[in-house]
Amino acid sequence: MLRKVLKYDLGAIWKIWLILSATSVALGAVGGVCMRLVENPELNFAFFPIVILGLILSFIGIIAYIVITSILIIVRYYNNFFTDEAYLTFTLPVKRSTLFDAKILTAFIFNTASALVFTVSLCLMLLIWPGADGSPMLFYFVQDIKDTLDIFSHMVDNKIVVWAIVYSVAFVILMLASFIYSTMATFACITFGGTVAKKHKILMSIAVYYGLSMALEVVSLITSSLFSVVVQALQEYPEIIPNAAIPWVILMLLLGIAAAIVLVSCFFYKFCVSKLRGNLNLA
Amino acid sequence: MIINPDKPILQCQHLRKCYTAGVPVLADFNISVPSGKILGLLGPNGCGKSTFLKLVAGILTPDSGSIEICGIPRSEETNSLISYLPERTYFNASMYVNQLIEFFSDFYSDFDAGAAEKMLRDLGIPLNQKLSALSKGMKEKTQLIMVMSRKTKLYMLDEPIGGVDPASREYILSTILGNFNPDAAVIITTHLINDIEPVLDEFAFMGYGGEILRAGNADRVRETTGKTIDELFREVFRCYVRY
Repeated sequence: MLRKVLKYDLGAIWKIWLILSATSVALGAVGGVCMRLVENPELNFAFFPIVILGLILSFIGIIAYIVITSILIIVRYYNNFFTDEAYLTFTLPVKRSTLFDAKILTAFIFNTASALVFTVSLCLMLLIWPGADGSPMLFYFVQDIKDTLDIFSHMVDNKIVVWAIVYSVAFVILMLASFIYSTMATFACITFGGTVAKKHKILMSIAVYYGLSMALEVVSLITSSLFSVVVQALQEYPEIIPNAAIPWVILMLLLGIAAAIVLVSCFFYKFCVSKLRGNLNLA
Repeated sequence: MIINPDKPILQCQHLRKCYTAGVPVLADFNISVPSGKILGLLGPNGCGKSTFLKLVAGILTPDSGSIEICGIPRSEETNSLISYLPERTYFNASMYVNQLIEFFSDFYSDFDAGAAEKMLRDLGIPLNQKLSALSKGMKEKTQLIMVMSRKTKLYMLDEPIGGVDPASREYILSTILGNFNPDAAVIITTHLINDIEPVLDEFAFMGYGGEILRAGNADRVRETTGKTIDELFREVFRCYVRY
């Protein structure tokens, strides 16, 4: 059944998403051309404001693409579960957890695809944008990444390949965890608003999301303050942790954060499924 | 899922549902619907008819009481035994009519796509039309056709002909009868009692709080009282007020 639900969830969004993606890539190209014109000393000064405007709009457009994709997913979730369409959704012979899983997978597929399209759009912009010697700006960025890795290799006793792989994996895990969290948190806020509020469900959802974001900010502020204290202590008393152990400590910290994020996401998942099962509040 | 043929299609016991704490829409509602019957659930506005259907469909959760469909306690699994038509337009308006047929065929193994297409054509509903482009009445007809094209155990129709023109009502009611399977049961709620009276086997007058004020076999009541169900309804609810 998951496959069938997924088919309709993906089918409901993919056409508009494809149009948006093509627009994003086109805007990447437009942005690159604008940068090329800005760098051109022969550009007529009268055209300068138009070119700058084109550049700004390209950037805004590419960022808006990511935002609009998220909005499409959220609107689909809300319409399917908390408007009149829910009468069809919840009378299907499908488990509510399956309906919810399909929504998560849809969000994952579209957000990942959007991140890729976003990267392609930016790369296209950097490929058209000429650097100081005329070669594409993208090459400078690649060189910068190489230089950073070189610096890092000296810090970790030339075991650069091993640590680069380890940290890449850790970052991918952290990114995945963050993605799961953001999707779950958004869905949980909508579910809360949709099941608790009788009339203003959207307003309630936004208010809950705002409150959750505030709480998260407080938590991250406390965490970063604690982190600064620990780093300061390590600088003052270097004998606490030997240099060789520092990469391990950072790795454990990253994985610990990822585990905490996944744990909170699991709580949101349970919350959403139990609310959809027992607390539907349809008119 | 094992269906018990000896059990009634729908059995509800001591059903209670409050939207506001302490004010029950259904206080202690009990009903049993056997197979092969078309039941008209009739009552004034706000007496809990739609709420009852929503509880059975799983759209709402009862505060207490039990609901059994073919002897199986209501759950997500029993959704396959119920074909529910709510009193509102509930399909995704961006879908085309033929997509809707594909959707129902995908999710309901008992859906008869051929019968649905025939009925849609009979009522002049174009298959390649978006739902948003259809009139309210046409949407309602489409919904009813989709719901009645399933071969399931329990059909629940909430105000099925409310927005339909009188000319089409006859066709729709004959469709309900034509598609009716003797192993199944139909519950219809409506205010248009005159229109649905010819198809009803049983009726139940529902008062506030889900109290059943009068119920029985439609033909027998007509014989014994000499009145139609519509006349009887008017008599029972003439001075009926919420207490």
